[in-house]
Amino acid sequence: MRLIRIEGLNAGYGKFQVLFDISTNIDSKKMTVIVGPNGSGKSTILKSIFGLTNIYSGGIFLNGEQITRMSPHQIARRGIAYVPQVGNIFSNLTVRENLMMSGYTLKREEVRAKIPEVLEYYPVLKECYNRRPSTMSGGERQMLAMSMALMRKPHVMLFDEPSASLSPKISAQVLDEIKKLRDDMGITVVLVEQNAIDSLKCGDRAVLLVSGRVAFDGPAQELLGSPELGSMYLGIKAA
Amino acid sequence: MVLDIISAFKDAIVFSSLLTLLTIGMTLTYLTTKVPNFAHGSIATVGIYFALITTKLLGLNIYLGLLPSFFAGGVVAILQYIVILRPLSKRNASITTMMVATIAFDFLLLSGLNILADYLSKSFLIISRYFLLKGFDFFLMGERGVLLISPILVIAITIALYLLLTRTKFGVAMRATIENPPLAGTVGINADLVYIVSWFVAGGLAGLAGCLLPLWFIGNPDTGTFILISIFAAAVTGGLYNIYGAIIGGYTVGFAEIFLIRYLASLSDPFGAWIIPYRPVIPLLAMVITLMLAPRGITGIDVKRLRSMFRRNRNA
Ligand SMILES: Nc1ncnc2c1ncn2[C@@H]1O[C@H](COP(=O)(O)OP(=O)(O)OP(=O)(O)O)[C@@H](O)[C@H]1O
Ligand SMILES: [Mg+2]
Repeated sequence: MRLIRIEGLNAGYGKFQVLFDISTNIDSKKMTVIVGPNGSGKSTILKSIFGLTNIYSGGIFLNGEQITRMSPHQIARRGIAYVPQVGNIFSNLTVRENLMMSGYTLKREEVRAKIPEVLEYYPVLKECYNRRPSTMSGGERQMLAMSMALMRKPHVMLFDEPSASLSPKISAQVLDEIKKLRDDMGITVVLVEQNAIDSLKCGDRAVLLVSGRVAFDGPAQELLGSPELGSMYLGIKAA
Repeated sequence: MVLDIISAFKDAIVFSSLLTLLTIGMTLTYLTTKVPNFAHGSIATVGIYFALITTKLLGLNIYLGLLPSFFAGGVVAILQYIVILRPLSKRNASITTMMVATIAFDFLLLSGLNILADYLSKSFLIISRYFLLKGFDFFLMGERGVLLISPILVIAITIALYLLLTRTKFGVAMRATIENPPLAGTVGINADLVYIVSWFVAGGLAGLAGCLLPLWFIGNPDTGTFILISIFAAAVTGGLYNIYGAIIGGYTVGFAEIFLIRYLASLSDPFGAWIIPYRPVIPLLAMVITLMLAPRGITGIDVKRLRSMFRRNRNA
């Protein structure tokens, strides 16, 4: 079942167009992986879903409802959570305040019930509960960002390069956590990744973006097994 | 002329307290919407005229004018944001464009205040220019009330703001929005509401300061415009990145301004009373010195680094 439908999307920043006629679907309870070279517009797609870009034409629909020109806070209330590539936590707020803010749309009792639950899921955060992220490691910060997204009981989560700048071991761990979100919680995941091979291996669908256009849209396995696309854009060596 | 330290000190207390109220507001709107508001001084003048109307027209206690002044200042600031700045920011206007728009709004406000002043003098025969409302104050142990009320107001507002920003959900959301507006939006915070509240509080505080001002200083339609330089200087000196910096900046610049000008005026040739009109040079100098020595203001000084630098010098 498709949850998010993107139709003929043309978007960019001010007058600078980045995305050209993007059309694709995001399936419910599946993991869609968006890959592509640097600057191809991967982050811009996620930002567009959240109303953070200038959309010139086209539409984005969530469960059939048009969300194209809504404010970010209205979109957030519809159960989408987003972990941006940069600036994905509030560094001037303590971990506690960060979690509190990420549950902004929930009732006070719900936040109070949800925080221990999220901390159980990411135990590292318990030790830094009253600290500011500036005193935490990169991995801890990424966990905080993911736990913030979880606070809202979302049914869709958008991740923008969650494992960038993390060591290989930690980034494998992060990918593992994301897989668990889909498998254990039934959350629809959209994952943008540089590390194409590992993410494609656990993804269901793949979208390959080149210069702001869709170059491939289909099963992740198919893109993995396609030597010409793989070697051209993703650095996958043909076997 | 001799420098009367006691009287200069009283002047400085009242002036700095009012300046601090204005600087807190200016810093708040700068932090949230990133626009330096050139109309901020004139919003205070709205309060000045509320004080005049409360006392001379309605015959009420001037302190009863505080609450209406707060609301009037707040409403003017919200209008400025909703009618002028928000549409510009939706069209991706640059900070410079927005800044010029606040100057334009200041002219509008200034014209409105001049019309109001004329209306008050023509229709009600009230002296509405260069007026002082000293006589409407109460006395406490031989001192005028505003000498006590103005610093108390600063303390109360500081505590209230601290509690708002650290103890309430909306206050933490304000800090979150100041730091990272897109992320705040994606967690469900209505950034626009945060901006509206900030402008309301900023305008309200300006209204409060304006209402108390004619109890000690002369009020005129352009009074706010003259204070504007001091507000900018205080905001920069304290550190524009931090509301508490506004308090330090307000008192630093306020005291420097009053004491320095009084001192220079008390000297004999070549200094003397002729220097008084050049008073705005002092806040400008404060701004220049701050930008040269500590560009992030007093609260932006990295104390730890300074201490280690000092230690290194001593060891050398
Ligand atoms: N805020 C912005 N304002 C203007 N242009 C931007 C902005 N953000 C990105 N761009 C431009 O848009 C294009 C696409 O950027 P985007 O961030 O979507 O790429 P990406 O595929 O996520 O790249 P990466 O893999 O490096 O993260 C780039 O040319 C970039 O320079
Ligand atoms: Mg990106």
